[in-house]
Amino acid sequence: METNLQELKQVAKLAKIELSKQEEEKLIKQIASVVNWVEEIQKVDTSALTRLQEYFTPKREDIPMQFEKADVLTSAFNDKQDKLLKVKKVL
Amino acid sequence: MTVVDIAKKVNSGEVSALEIITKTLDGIKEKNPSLNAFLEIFEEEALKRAKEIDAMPQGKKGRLAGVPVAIKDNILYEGHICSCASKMLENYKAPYTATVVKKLLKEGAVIVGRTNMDEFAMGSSNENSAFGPVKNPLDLARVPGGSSGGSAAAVASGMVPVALGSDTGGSIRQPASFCGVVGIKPTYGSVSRYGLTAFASSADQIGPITNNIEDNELVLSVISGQDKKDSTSKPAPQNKQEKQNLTLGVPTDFLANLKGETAEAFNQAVELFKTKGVQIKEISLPHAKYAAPCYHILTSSEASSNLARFDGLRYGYSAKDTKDLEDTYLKNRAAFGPEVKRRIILGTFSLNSAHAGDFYLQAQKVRELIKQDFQKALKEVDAIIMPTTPNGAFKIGEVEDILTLYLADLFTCPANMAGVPALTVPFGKDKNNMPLGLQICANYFNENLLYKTAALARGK
Repeated sequence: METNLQELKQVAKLAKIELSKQEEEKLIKQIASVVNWVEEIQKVDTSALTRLQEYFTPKREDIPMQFEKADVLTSAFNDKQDKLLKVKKVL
Repeated sequence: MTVVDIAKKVNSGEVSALEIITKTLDGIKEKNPSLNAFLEIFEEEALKRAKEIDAMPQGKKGRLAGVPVAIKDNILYEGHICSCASKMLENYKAPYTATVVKKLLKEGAVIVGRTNMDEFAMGSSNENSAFGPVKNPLDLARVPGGSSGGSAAAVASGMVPVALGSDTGGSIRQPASFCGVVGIKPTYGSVSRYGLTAFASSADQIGPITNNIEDNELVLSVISGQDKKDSTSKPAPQNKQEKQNLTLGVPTDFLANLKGETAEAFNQAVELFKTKGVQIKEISLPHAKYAAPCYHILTSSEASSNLARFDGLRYGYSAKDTKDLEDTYLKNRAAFGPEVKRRIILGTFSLNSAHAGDFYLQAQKVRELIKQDFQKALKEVDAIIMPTTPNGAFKIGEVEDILTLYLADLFTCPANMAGVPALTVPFGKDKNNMPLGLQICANYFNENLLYKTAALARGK
């Protein structure tokens, strides 16, 4: 449980989710309790399943398509310069 | 009026679409303030569209001529806000129209507004909306269920005869059951998700919520079909078999802990089917009890990926005065509510290479076993019946423990994990006089058997 709490805090950072002290206290404990609950699936014997890739949704071919309303998309940018998305400095 | 009646009368000219829509809008304005089911009404546009339908030649106005439809706030309709009931997308305008909405419009339907929901479709009580909870029209102190709670409440209150919802682990069936209406999660791949804001792509499906079975079947027939823009969509197989004598399966192992009014109502349903000449057979779904935890691992994993796009740069919530790009990401994503944050963190954890084998990959395997259970059982029976939810609607704020909330989807998750269609129809009441639902699951693309079984349960 304790390992999970530490790890979940780290995972939140990786997912770009910032938690306030108060939020962290509550949310992380709740998620740890969910982790404990979902762990029960580890009891299931799945040894009869060998061809796992067949159970995933098949991937489609990656073919580029033209979206006719590109300007509508760029008009939603929160900050831009000409047609380009403008972001804060990276470093 | 029912969907079937409205379409018939508007087509024949007996009633005008304008009359229907005006009355609908008046009803929404009167009832919605106490229910909070609609986040927005498209009044002006709906009236304009009604007039256009009235101007069309009689009999050629479409299969849903003049039918007012509400759409869940995660379905795109060009030029209209689609917020997913989140502060993140509070002002986001849809740049294109979802395939399902296009199909409805083509058949003469009128989209009258967008309905409240649990934020990003995550929840089973509608208490997770950033814009306030929806109230159950049958008891305003109670939840309508979720995540499509606004859609279910809009239909149950009579504001609209049909609303679209989306169902990833029970989000159509559970609120439909809590509100005493009919809801279907169609076969995975039978309805296009193009224009549905993705939550968990391997399980999300759009479906209609209606007051009766005939309306549901009609609307589903309009929105179904393969779509090139959703690569998981499939065409329905031709030459469906019409069954005369049904055999229904009861998964006794999965329902072993059933108690109280839920057990009583379910047993009454079984007895009713027997009197109708239906054969009842005990079946086994040995892995169905793992469907809810399996659902939480897989859908949270997919959500952590699907919701990574919401960084507030291209669209969505943009925080002021941020230091650098990292700070911008963190401050913008603070717009997510607690349930969305919980699921993103759980999903990122489940996919973490350190234990993806124990969580994500193991859940994929268990999902396959659940699918195999259904396939095996559906060789012996035409459809499987079980309660839709363990209990009726609870009070707003009553359930604080998230694991208890998650278990509201105990009976609905298996169908999403297996990809099979499932429908809920009202059957029985709990001790608070709130409706309970009977859930029917069939094999892929056998929605016709669901409707047939549901009609028997309704005494037809």
